[in-house]
Amino acid sequence: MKKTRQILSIMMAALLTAGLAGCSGGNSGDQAGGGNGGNSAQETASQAADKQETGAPAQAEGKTTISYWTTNRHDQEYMTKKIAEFNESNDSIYIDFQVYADNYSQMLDLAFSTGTAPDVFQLTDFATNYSKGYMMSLNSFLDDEYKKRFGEGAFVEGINSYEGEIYSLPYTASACRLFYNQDIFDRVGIAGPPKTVEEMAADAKLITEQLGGEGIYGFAGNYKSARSAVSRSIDPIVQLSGGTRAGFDYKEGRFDFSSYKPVLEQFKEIFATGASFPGSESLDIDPLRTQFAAGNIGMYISISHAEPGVYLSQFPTDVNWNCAQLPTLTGEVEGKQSLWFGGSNLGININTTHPDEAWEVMEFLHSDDVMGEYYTLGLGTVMIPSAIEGVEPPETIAKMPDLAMNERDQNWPPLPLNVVVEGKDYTTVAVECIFGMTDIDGAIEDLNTRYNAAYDKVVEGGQERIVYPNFDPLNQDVSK
Amino acid sequence: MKNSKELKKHLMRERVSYLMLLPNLVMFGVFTVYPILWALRYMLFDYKGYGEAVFVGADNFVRVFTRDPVFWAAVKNTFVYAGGKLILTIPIAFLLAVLVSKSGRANAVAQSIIFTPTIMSSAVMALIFYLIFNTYNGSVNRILMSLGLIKQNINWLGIQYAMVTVIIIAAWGGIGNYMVYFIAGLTGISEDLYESARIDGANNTQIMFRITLPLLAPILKMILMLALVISFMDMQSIMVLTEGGPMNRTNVMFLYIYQLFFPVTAGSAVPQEFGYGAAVSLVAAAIIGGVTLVYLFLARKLDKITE
Repeated sequence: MKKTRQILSIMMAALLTAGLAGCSGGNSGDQAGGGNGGNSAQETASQAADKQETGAPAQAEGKTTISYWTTNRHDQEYMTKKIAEFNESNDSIYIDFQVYADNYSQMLDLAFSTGTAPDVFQLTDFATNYSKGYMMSLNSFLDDEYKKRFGEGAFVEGINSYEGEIYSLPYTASACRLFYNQDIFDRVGIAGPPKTVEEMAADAKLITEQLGGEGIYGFAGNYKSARSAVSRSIDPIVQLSGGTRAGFDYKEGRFDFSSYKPVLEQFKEIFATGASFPGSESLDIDPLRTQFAAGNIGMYISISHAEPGVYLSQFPTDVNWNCAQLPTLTGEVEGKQSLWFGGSNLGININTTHPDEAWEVMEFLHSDDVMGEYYTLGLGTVMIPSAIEGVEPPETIAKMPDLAMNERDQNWPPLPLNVVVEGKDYTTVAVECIFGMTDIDGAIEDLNTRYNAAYDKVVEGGQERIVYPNFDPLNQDVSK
Repeated sequence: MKNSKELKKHLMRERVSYLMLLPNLVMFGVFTVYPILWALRYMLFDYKGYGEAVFVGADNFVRVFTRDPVFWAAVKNTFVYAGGKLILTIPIAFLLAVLVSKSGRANAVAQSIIFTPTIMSSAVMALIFYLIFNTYNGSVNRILMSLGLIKQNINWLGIQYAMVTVIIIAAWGGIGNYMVYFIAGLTGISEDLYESARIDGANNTQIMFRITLPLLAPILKMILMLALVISFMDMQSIMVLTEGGPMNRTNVMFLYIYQLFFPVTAGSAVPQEFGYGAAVSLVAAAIIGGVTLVYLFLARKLDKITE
């Protein structure tokens, strides 16, 4: 009996320890003995590989250190070189350059709440970062001469400024495009990229019917993350087809998701009929890209700034791929397609102790010297006219003109701030519709009710309702 | 007066014990009690984690019970997950413990191998299983295909099977741990009992059901409780493997709470809401507490077996 009691007490201790580890790290108690208590999943998965420090701290001696955080990995090699040059030549500032990955948004929140945030940082989302009060106004640093560099209409409410205060500067831009495998198109006899969503669905079916036996499928989507998938495919197609942006109807000042219906129906056709790559509902974008690089996917939708670099260095491929404008419902363009990003990128920490030095770093990062070559190397579609004036355009855009920004791509006016919707967000519901788990009509009605209730609550709280009576998706007149 | 004197005496006598308890108590206070209180104070507020906290009374709780189907789906998933994991883990762990509990070099090696998944980071584990269970070209599908057991690739992480896959992986990760507990219990049973049973002519099955299992009962009770509570709190491997998807099919209570406090990505589908998250946490804690009470009530007989 005594022995039993001893064993029981040991087990009680184990229970307590397990509880402690479970609470402190969000870790599973099964691993309590393993000693990996504090690691969150994303940290473990990405930290070792993706968080890399650059430069030698020895250089920092006697200088003001300005920390700079970003998530850009595709330009890391180039930026590391440029920043090393800066650190060597500048006598008073040392840039501590850090690159983060998936867990960046959490890292930034944590850093701001503990007072260890970087001086200069890549924004996660302009509106959210503004709501959280992370950014310093740049107005005192910006004179008219400097602003001219960014061209006409560069500073837009909700894009890089709020209430006349500028918080961020135009940097690069990106928009969604259809990426396709030309070899596969040639094999099944598809003349060119689809102009309508219906054509896209038909092409996807054709490819899967003819080549499915070889493990080649017509279309794929990265539906593991509903938001990531919907915002790069459904949203821009709805906008180009004359629909709303994220469900918000600027003309009426209310949420109305009904313009999503025809697009969702077509996507459902692709994914519910088996024309899509198997396992799309649990695919991340990178595993999808590896399969595209292996020649197993006919088409998918992604973003213009990322894919060229991905297939050049991350997943090098011999596949003859190309890029096209997104299809629309009718083949006609009836609205602008919101930029994936464009108009803002970096901000200065509102609490920085070295605002002047931080601004100098901002100036350097946006300089013609850094951004001109950035453009030529094909690292991004640079939105600073003075930087790309007279420099050679990148090879990728010469080869694939559709990668470049055009008149279809444009920043939309800002969405209402601080609308927190109860229950599933529209991207999750959209994916449920695509996979046939929810009835589309019922889902849209439910979304309209919940989103408007959330917005009404914000308006009741004192926020002015956004109504632009003359607004249409093509000519975005925001006069009130 | 007398009491305080006695207390002093007691403290002096037991000072080493209290000193040894201190680090654990401090850590428990700082990393468990304080964060819980910190979060719970927001449960009556509409607070996003930034900006102003607006008092909303009991509305967060009304929302949990009347307007949040996602949470209740997560509760259901949690029960399915915990039940599935227990049904797989406990019998297998027990059988393995019986097989490898005797001392000897081969058994020691076997024990270490079976225990290895326990000390692996569950995030790494989930990433590896993501590749193994990959629909398109994962090894599981390839093996099943080459054995002729399936004609078409199974979508292991899809809507239909994601929960099953998650449970299998969780069981794989948990078995070693419980095996060690069972071994500890088995070595506590006196050899004399087995010997006298054998002299009386008992066979192996009789020994297992008449001696081993009854004598393990009190330990089994603890193991089951540990396993139950831990399964209800699991979320890390699910977060890496499926992020609760596809379409919330593997979203469990604690993952949902985690998302309310820490949006997994910048554009997370669940918006950050500290106030509501705190309310959900309290409800979830009450559910786990309730389950534990029910379990202890049902399992009270296990203690009496050896009396």
